[in-house]
Amino acid sequence: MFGQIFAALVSGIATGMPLFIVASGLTLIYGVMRVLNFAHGAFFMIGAFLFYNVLGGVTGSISLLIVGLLIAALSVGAIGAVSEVAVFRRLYARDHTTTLLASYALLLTLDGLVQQIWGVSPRSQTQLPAFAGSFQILGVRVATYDVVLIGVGAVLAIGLTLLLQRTSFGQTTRAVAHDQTMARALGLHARGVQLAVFALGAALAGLAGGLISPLLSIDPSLAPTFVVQSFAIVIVGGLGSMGGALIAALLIGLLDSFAVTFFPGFAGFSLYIAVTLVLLLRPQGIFGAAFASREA
Amino acid sequence: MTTQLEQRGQNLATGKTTSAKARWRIPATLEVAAVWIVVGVIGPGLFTGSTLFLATTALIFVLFAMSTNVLLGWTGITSFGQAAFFGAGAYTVGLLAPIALPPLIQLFVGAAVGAILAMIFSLVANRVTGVEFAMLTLVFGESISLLLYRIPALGGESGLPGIPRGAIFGTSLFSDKTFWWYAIAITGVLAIVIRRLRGSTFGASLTAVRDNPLRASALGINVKLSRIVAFTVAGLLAGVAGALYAQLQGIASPDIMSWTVSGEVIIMCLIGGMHTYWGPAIGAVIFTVANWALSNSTSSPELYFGLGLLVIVLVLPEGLLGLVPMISKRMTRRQKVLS
Repeated sequence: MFGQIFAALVSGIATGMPLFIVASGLTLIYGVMRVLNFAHGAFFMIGAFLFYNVLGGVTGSISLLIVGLLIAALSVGAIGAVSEVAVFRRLYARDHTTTLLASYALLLTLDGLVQQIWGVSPRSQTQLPAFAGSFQILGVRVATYDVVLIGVGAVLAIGLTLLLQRTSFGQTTRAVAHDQTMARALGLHARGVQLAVFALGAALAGLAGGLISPLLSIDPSLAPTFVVQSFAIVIVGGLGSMGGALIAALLIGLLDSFAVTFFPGFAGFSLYIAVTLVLLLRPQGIFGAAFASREA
Repeated sequence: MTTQLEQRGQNLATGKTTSAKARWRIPATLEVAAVWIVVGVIGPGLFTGSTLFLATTALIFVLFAMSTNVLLGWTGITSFGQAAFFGAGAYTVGLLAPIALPPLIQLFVGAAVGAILAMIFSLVANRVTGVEFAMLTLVFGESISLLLYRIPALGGESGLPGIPRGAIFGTSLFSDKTFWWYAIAITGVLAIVIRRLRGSTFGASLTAVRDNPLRASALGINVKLSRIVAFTVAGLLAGVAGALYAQLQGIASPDIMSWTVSGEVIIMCLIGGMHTYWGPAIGAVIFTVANWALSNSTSSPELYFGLGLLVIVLVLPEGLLGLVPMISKRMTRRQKVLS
């Protein structure tokens, strides 16, 4: 019994952490700009495809892995910056639904572009041999790559929190998120902050795409699937709350793995059940209103 | 843009009941009926075989788009879950296929299932609005579509094939031509109902809820109830459209429940223009035809729909029909200058 629970715990965290890595960029963008970005799924997918292209399907060495991740993150960050200037900047003044629809349009466009460039046939990316194995903790078999992802997720969570809370860039960002007009009046470069945050959020999606690609079949269906998942994380955690997103991702991962172990019929639904419960009982999310004040 | 309600208010204030121009306008119901009769008559003349099948598909999507626009355009509710109600209608017909009910009864049951599902959802979900509500609809639609794969009776990947078209008043709907007439009759009647609903007090109250919920509730409109009723009506009509679609295709397949279909119907409304009666209809026709043409010539129609939608959202928020007043205004201005 204990072994079962421990195994479910480990696999839950291993399921949840990648979800957080994908959703972190979405949370960041929502927290600062109030833009719920459908195209985030496409950013993630492009990251996975670029990573595949750079490494040619085989992750040879750790330095190659890092180069691939950097290229994926930087290119997708650049795409994010372009889309901020071309699309989202024009819509900040309009209502949130319009922005939502624009991001949906961008998702379709990028999805179509990916199909034009890479086609629809699925690809797979091998893992770095050092990360491919697994080892035993307390009698439970744990995949090495899961541990790597848990580590990366933890670093990202701490890094992003420090960036937002402890640096001057973070302070400026929080000011812009809180009250854009006032931030401008104080001489802060709000436009620049918005551009930087959007690029950073997109880069995180690209990074996530590269990181998670060895676990996935890389094909155009990634975008719609991961959009729904990361939206769910962001809703459960509280729109715009980084810590909330982390806890929500872990919670959903755990819920799912416990469902698989103990109630197999519910497996796959935990995401939806969590979202429904949270929106009904606590519509602002577990950690809603923690990052920036919400407007009425 | 002045809304219907504001227009009415202004008319009341100025003592105008009808302007000289409006007196000569064709009654709305007649206008809709005339369009449907003309389209119905020329349809089989222009199209045969697979193009008539395509035209019938377009007709069904016209109804689906109009139903979605009750939310999007009238009430200001964005829903990314309308495919669930469309699919519910289709799967109802699929499940009823072994009983061999008359097609019209199937439509009624499909409508009821769509409406009940929508009502339950909106009763539960009405605590949130706006973007959060849109997300909830997305999640709801996805979980319903996941059920298709989990409940063995719903056929999983292969759906529910073998749905017969049946016969109505002794006439078999098997040929595409008779099915066209059947679809014209159903969608025509519902289009008139939608038109009347739009002009009714209920329609006006939805506009008020959309433009300013606070003011609407101050005027005595029950905002929550209006949203729930609007959602139920949209679910009901989507259920009918889905049921018709299943009868046309002969199969209820899981891909019609995917959230991308909910997205497509939103695109239809936006292309045509969501604040006009004819906008969603025109959008649905354009989308269906473009989708057909594009999937024959390119592997990724999404690219073009995405770009088109971007243009609409960024520069043409009132859709293609929004161009009409723009152009006519420019024309009249030019005439004034000339005279």
